Amino acid sequence: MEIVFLSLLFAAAGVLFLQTLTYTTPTFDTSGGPALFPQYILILLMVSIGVLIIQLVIRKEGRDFVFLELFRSLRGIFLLSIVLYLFALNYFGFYIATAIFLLFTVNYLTFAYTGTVGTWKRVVLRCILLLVIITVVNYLFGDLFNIMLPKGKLL
Amino acid sequence: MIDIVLSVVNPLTILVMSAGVSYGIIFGAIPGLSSSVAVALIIPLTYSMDSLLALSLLVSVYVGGVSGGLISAILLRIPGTPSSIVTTFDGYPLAQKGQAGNAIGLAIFSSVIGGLIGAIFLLTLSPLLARVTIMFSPFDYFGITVFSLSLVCMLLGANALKGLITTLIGLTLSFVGTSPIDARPRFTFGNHNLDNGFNIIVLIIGVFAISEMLNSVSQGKKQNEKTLFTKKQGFMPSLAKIRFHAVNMFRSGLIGTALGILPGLSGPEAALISYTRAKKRSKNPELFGDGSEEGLVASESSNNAVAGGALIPMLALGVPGNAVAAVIMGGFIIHGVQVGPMLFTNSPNLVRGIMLAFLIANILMLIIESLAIKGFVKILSVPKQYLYPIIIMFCVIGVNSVNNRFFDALIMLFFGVVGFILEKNRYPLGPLVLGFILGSIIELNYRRAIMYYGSFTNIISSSFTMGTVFLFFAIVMVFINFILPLFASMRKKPKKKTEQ
Repeated sequence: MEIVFLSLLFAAAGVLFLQTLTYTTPTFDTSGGPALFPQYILILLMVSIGVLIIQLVIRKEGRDFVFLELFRSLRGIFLLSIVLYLFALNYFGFYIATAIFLLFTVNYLTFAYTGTVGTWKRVVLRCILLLVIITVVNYLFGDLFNIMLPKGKLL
Repeated sequence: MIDIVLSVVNPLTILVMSAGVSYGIIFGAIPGLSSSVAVALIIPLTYSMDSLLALSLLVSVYVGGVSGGLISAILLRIPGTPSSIVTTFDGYPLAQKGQAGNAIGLAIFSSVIGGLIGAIFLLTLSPLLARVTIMFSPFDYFGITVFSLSLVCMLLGANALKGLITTLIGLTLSFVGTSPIDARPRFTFGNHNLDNGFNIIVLIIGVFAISEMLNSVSQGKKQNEKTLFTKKQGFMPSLAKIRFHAVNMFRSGLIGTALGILPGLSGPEAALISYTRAKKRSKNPELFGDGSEEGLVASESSNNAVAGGALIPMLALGVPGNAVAAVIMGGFIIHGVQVGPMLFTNSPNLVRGIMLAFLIANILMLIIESLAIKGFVKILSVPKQYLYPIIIMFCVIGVNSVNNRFFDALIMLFFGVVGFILEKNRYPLGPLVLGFILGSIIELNYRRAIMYYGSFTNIISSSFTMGTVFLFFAIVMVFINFILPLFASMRKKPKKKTEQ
C-alpha cells in the first residue's frame, strides 16, 4: 500500500517536472528562469522516492500503510462533519453553520465517548452552552476585534 | 534619561501595555491569528493617543503575540504562530507526559529571557548592527537559509529518507504560485486562487491542527480519563532548572536576535537553528522530539529574541525585519514618526522610550502569562467532545482571517488529510513545514545572486563570501547527519539478517 502511495507521489512529481519544461525564460532574465529551482528539487524528490520504494521492496515492508482508517467509524464521521461544515459556511455563514456543526458534533462525540447523550435536560443545557459560546465568539471576533468571519451566499 | 523612564513607567502606559500584551497573547494562541493581524487591527485605536503611548502599545501587542503561540503549541500541538512550530516538537510530548504546566512555565521564562536579550541589543547596538546587516548579499542570505534547511537533517531521526521526502514536498509546495524575479505563475493549473501560492497559516493549521484533530478524535475517551497536568512544585522553573538551562537560553537568544536582524529571516529559522544547536550540545540528545526541556527552551528563547532583532533594522534603517515589524512601521508612519537613520538624531527620546517599552513589555508578558498558566492548562481538562469541534471552529476563524476565501478552508482540510496520512505512516511533518517556509527564501536569494554574479561558479570562484562559508557548513551538516547515517543503516540491515 505504501508503495502505491509513493508511486502516486512519484507520478505527481513527474507531472510537475514535465510542466516545468514548458516554462520559458525571458532573454533578459539571467537568474536561471522559473523552472530551474523546481527542477532541482523535483529530480531530488523523485530520486528519494525511488530509493525508498526500492528499500521497501527489498525489505518487504510498507504493507501496513494507514489510509482507510481516515474514513472509518468515529474519525470518518468527524471528517465528514468538517467537510459539511466548510461547505455550510460558504452558504449559511459563520453563525448558523457553526451552530449546526457544534450542536451535531458535540452531541455525537458525547455519545461516542460516554455511550449516552444524557437526559433531555442535559442535551438542552449543552445546546444552550454551545450557542452562548458561538455568540460570544461571534461578538468578540466579528464585532470587537473586527476579524472577518465567513459570510454565506444565502444568509 | 529619567524623563524617558517616567514617560514609559507610569500607571496609564503600564495599563495600556498590559492590555496590549494580553490582547497579543490571545491572538498568538489562536492558530491563524498572527501578531501582524493583531497589530494591524489595533492601529486605529491608537489614533488619538500620544506617539510614545501608541507605539508602546503596538510593541506590547507584538511581544504578546509572539509569546502567545507557545500555549496552543504545547497544549494542543497546534502552533499559534509559525515561530512556534519547533516548540511543538518537545512541548506537546511534555504536555502528554502530564507536565503541561511546567512546560508552559519553562517556555514562558525562556521567552522572556530571549525577549530581554533582544531588547538589550535593541537598546545598545541598534544603529551599528543595522549597518552590518545591509552588507549581506543575496548569496549570503542563500547560504544562511540553505544552512538552516540542512539543519532539518538533525530532526529526522530514524526515518531520514522519509524526512527528506517531506522536506522536498515542503519545498515543492513553496513553488506553487507566482515565481520570484519574473512573476510567472507556476503549478497553478489555471486556478487563480493559487496565484499567490499556499498561505503559510493555512498550511500550518491544516498540517498540524486538522491532522491532530483527526488523529485524536478516536482517542478522546482515553484522553478524558488521563490527568494531563500536575502541580507538584509550581509551574515556574526552579532556580536549579534555570541555572541548568542558562547557557542554552542565552545562546538561543543570541541566535534569535542575530537572525531577527536579517530581513526575511524570522522565528522558525531561528528556532530551528537554536534547537539543533541545543541538541548537538545536549547530554541527552535522544530526548529531543520526545519531550526535551532543552529543545523547548531553545525554541522559545530564540523565537522571542527575534522580535527584538526584527525591530533593529526597522528603527535604524527603515527596513522591517519581518511582516509584523512592517505593520508596526506603518503604525510609526501614521503617528508621524519617520523611521530610518535620522530617527536617532531627530527623536532620540522617542526611540529610547520605545526600546524601553519593548523591555517592559517582556516583563509584563512574564507576569501576565505566569498568572494565567493555571487557566491555560485547564484547556486540557475541557471534555474532548467540546474541545475538538471548538478547535475546528477557531481554525476556520484563523484561516478565514487570512484572505476571507472559501478556497483556503478547502486547502486547510486538504493539508489536514495529507498531514494525517503522512504522520500516521511515520513521515515527519516538521520538515515539510520548514521546507515550505525556507523554499521561497532560498529560491529568491539564489536567483538574485545568480543575476548579480552571472553564474554559480562565478560566485564560488570570484569571492569568498559569508554565503560560501554557510554553504560549506550546510554540505558538511548534510553529509554528517544524513548521508553517513543513511549508508550506515543500509549496511546494517543485511548484516542482521545474515547473523540471524
